[in-house]
Order: sequence, then structure tokens, then C-alpha cells
Amino acid sequence: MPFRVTETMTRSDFMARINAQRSRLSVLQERLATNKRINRPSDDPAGAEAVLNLRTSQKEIDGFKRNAQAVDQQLVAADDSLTGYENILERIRSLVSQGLSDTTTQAAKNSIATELDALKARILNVANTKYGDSYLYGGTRQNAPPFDPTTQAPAGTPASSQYIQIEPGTNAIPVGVTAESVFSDGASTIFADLTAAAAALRGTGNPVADKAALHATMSRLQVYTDQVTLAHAVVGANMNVTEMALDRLTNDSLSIDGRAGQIEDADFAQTALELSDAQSTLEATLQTAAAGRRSLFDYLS
Amino acid sequence: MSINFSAFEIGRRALLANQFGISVTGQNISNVNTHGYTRQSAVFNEGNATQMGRFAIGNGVTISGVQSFRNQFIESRMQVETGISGRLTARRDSLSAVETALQGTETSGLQNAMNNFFSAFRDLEANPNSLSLRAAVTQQGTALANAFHSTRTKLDEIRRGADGQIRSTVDQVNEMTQRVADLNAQISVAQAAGGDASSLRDQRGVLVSQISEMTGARSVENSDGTVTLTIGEGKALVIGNTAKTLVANDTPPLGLASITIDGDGVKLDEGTIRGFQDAIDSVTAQIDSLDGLAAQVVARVNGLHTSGTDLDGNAGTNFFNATGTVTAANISINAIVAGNPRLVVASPLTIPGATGTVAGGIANLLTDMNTTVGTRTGSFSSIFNSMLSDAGTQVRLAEDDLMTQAAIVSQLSAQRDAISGVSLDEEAINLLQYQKAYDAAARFLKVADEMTQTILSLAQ
Repeated sequence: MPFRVTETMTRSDFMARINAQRSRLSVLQERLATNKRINRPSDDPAGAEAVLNLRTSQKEIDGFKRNAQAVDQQLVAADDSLTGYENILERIRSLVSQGLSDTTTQAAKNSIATELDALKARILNVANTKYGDSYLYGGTRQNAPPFDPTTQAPAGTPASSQYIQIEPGTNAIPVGVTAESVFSDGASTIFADLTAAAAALRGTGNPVADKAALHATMSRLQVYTDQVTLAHAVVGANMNVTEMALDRLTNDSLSIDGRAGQIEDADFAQTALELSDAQSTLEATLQTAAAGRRSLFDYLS
Repeated sequence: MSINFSAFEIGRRALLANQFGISVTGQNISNVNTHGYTRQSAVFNEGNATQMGRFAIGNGVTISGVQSFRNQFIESRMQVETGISGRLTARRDSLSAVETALQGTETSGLQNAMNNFFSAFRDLEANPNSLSLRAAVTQQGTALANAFHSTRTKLDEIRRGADGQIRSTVDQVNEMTQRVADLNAQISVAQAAGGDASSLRDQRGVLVSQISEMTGARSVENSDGTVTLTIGEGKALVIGNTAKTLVANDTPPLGLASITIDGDGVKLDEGTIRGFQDAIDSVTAQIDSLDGLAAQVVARVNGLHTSGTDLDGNAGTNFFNATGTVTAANISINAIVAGNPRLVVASPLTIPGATGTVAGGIANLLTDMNTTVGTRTGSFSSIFNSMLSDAGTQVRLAEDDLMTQAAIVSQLSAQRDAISGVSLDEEAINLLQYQKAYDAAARFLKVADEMTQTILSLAQ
């Protein structure tokens, strides 16, 4: 020091040093406690902005993930119910072919007709299944069940598929199948056909016509089976798309986490080292301050 | 015999001078911790010589005064630098509050409220028939409006706080300039009478440095010992024994203070007041951006919301109230929608709850990059993030500048101390020196006395 060192100077030097070291210490302690390098935007404004943008993307992806999961669950439900419907169709085919057999007694035919009625009711349940607040096969028509619960008449407004966006920046994709493409073919519905088949089995007094009606039912059943197979394939494909999207979303979410972490996380080892460094520096300074600066007065008796 | 009697005079002067020296040393020692104290030292002169036959011999020592160790150059640099440091401190303190207000916490705060609000619409998209998700949307909408309100209130409080600080600082400055003017008068009188005005100067120095810190005032010392203080574009604050009063006027529309002196507006360059003024400007810009953001959120959400139909198949109403100018202070969710969540729109079709594409569209607004607020274009979230980052940058810059400034000030104050500060070692040496000299002078008197006795005994 090229000039006079005075008491005030020494004192304010100590104060400045101790303050600086204490504030450094508190910064490091905060970093360790939060495990974050950026605790407020001023710590690194550019980094903080990047982290905040990443966090918004993360939130967005979380939202899309929830959507995709909901879609996936809905598709799984549709898949299950379609399988159930397929089994019922299979059973109906075997029942109708039994009914066609000339060896089947009228009593047996009657009981087949009763079972067909019961199966029809089950199909109606399947077709009008509610998933959450929506009709599983309702598509964009959600104000009425796809088929009237008493008359089994199809709902007036034709439905089209619901569209849901499941990935950022992509178009919404159609989800699920509509009742129109599963339980009816435009000309007739499975319910009308089954009602006709049951009537034919019970006998209308015209055995030839009844038999012809049951044959017609068999070919109609083939149409419905083809429809449900196609619907199943569509649902399967949709599930595939959704699950791939979910995979991508999960990956994106992880990589965003990683990137945000790289920007804002504190390097634990380094911070701990710096902390112990800062602590010993502060201790040394305090000791020096405590030792004090002796003046000539201490040596004059 | 003249030699002997002049020896007594020399001895007397030596005793007096060294006593005086000890007093000055005592004064220094006792003020070693006094803020603004300037070290003094006794100034002695050799007494005029008298002719003794062929030789001239001195007449001992005379006290010619007390010298104060001041460096006018360093003092005036100190004023400039503490003014800057005052501005930066005020700025940093106000702005770091802005940063905290905008940031909120991990779970509260505007950023989070926005994410949650648009996320609620995203959930509604996947389940457009749900009433409970609609209720969630209205709740998140209310939360978003509240987050806007509380953020804006905090910013407004910071602005009011800075304004209040300006007003109280102005009061302090006025009181201090009056005291400087009084001291000017006393010093010029004392100096004209040839007296020592060192302690008055020390007091004035402390006041001037405080005034500089608050207003960035510069001082010039005149030959009569008075200082002239000027602020802003050379406007006089103190001349001689007159102090001009700074006035903080309420200025419409917000009633914030504007400073005048003698009825003229004055623009301060540095100092605490300027720092608070800068902070108010920054906060006002942030508030304007926040208002703009709120208006955009309302306009764009309403735009999509009115394009679809609610759960009952009716055309959508405004989700947020949109009468008059929407700001962050008055943004609010339409009471009819809040009261009946069935009115929340999810679907573009007239069939209720048919498909969630409108809800999806609203959810996409969060990251839609086509929103413009002021000079910023981006998404709601990126615009807000950029506001936050700006606030952070300003704090960062103010902190960095303040650190540099602190180093400059402490360097200057070390330089000032090096010249004006008291060193106890030096004072100990001075004390010894004066004491020994006093002893020696006493010894000298004793010798002179003995010599006189010797002469007198000859006469008996």
C-alpha cells in the first residue's frame, strides 16, 4: 500500500471483506439448499428464461400426456367392448344356425329366440356404453345415446369421430369408432335384424318365409362381423398411434427435464467445495480481525 | 541578564507549544472513530530572531495554527461516486422486489396460474362433456385473474414505495441543504475572522456527501470558505447561506412525484432520488406489459370461446369480461360463466360436448407464438418469461454496477482516509515526541532557573 494505513481504513476494509464473504457464503448455502444454480431470474437472466420456457413446454407436454392417456384408456375400453360384441355376434351366429336346422324343435327355437332377445339387450348396452361422461360410440353426438334404449332406433343425427390433439404442433386425430360404423350399416341395424330373427324363430305361420328370414339374418351377421373386425382394426391402429405418441411425449418430457436441469441445477460437488472454501476464508478473516491491529500504544508503558 | 530572561520566555513558549501539540494529538486520538473527521496537526513556527551583538538568536517557537489534512480533489470525486452509488443502490433495491413480484413461488405466481389455466382447457379437450372439468376451468380462470391482480398490485406497491422514498428523501435533502447553508454562513464568518473552522468543515463535509448520495449534487468551494452545491443541469441547490427547496409535486395521471426547484423541473443525473425515478420507469414499463398481456389473454381466449358452443348447445359467451380497456388490474372472469360452468365452451359444433377442439384451441394459445404485447411477440408464456428475464437482467446489471461502484467508492474512501484519517501509531509517536519535548523544555527552564539563582547568589 503506497499510502498511510489508518484505523478507519483497516476497520472498513475488514467490514467490507467480511460482508462480501458472508454474502458469498449465503449464495452458496442457498444453492446447496435448493440444489439450484438459478434461484431468481437475476442469477442468470438468459438461463432463467430458458428454464421457464422449458417448464411451460413441460406443462404443455404433461397436458398432452394426460390427453393421450385418456385417449388410450378410452381406446382400450372400446377395444374390450368390441371384443365382447364380437363374442356375442359369434354366439348369435351359432344360435341362428341352430335355429335354421330342421331338427330343432319349436320349443328349442323359442328358447333360442328368448336368448337372442337377451343378447340383443346386451348389444344395446354395449352400443350405449358410457365412458366417463361420454358415449363410447357417440362420437360427436353426445346429447343422445346412439340407439334409443326402448325402441332401439338409431339416434337422428349421424355421428362422426371425435378429434383430440395428443401432441404439440400436430393436428387433432380422430379417436375411436362411431355406433354407425359398428352396429348398423345404413340399411338396417343389428337390433332390427335380431328382432326379425327372433320373430322368425318363434314362427310367423309361414315356415318358408321364416327360414328365408333366418338365412338373410346369417348374411347380415356376416356384414356386422366384417364391420366389427374393421372397427377393431381402426381402434387397434388408433391405440398404436396413441401409444407411440405417449412414448414420444415421455421421452420429450425426460429430455426437457434434463435440459432444464443442465441449465438450472447446481453442481453439488463443486458448490460444496466452494462452500467449504468460502467458510475457511471467512474464518481466517474473522480470526485476523479478532487478533486486531496492535498499535504503538500497546508497547508504551 | 537579558539572556536569562529571554530563556524563560523561550521555555514558556516551548511548554505552551508542546502542550498545544498534545491537545491536538488528543483531539485526533479521541476522533479516531468519528465519521468525517479530518486529522489535524499543530503547526509551529520558529520564533523571530533577535540580534545579540553579532549573532542573531531565535526566540523559541510560536504556534501558528492547526492544519487539517484535506484533499479537495478526492472529496469532490467522492461526491460524484457516492451519487452514482446512491442511484444504483436505490435502483437495485426497488428492482429486486420487481423480480420477486413477477417470479412468485414455485406453486403460486402468474406463470404457474397461466400454465394451470390453459392446462385445464387441455383436460377439457379430452373430455368435452365433463361438467367437473368445466368447473375446474372456471376456477383456474379465476385463479389466473387473481394472479394478474396480485402481481400488478405488488408492482404498483413497489412503484408507490419508490415514490414515497423519493418524497421522504426530498424532505431529508431540504433539511440538510438548510444546514449546509447555515454552516456556510458560520464558516465564512469564522474564516474572515481568521479562526479555525475545521470542525464546521467536517460537519459540512458529512452533510454534503449525504446530499450527493441522495441527489448527485456537486460541490465547489469558494474562496470565502462557503460551498456551492449544484444538481441536475447546473441548477443551484445551495449558494452561500441560501438553500433552495426541492419540491415533490404530484403529477397526473398517477400522482407520482416530479421534482422541481424554484418552480423549474429538474432532471437529476445521479443519487438515490434518480435511482428511484429509474426504478419507477422500469416498473411502469413492466406494469404496461402486464396490462397488455392480460388484454391479449382476454381477447384471444374470448375470441375462441365465442366461436363455439357451450354444454347446452348455445353459442359461447365471453369467458372473461371485456368491457372497456382490460388491464391486469381489472381482468375478471365473466360472472355468468363462473356461476354456471355449463357455459364453458369446448366444442365448435351445436351438438353439446360433441368434441373438444375449441378447448384444445384455447389450450394451444399458451404456446401460440402469434401474440404481440408492446415490443414483444411470442406466446403468452414466452412473453411473460421475457418480462421476468428482463427484470432479472436489470437487477443483475444494477448489482454488477453496484459492485464496481462499491469498489470505486471504497478505493476513494481509502485514499481519503490515507490523507485525512487518524493513525494511532502516528499519534502515539506524536504524543511521545511532544511529551519528551515538554520534559526537555521543563528541564531547560530548570537550568535557566538555576543559572538565574547562581547569578543572584553572586549579588548576596
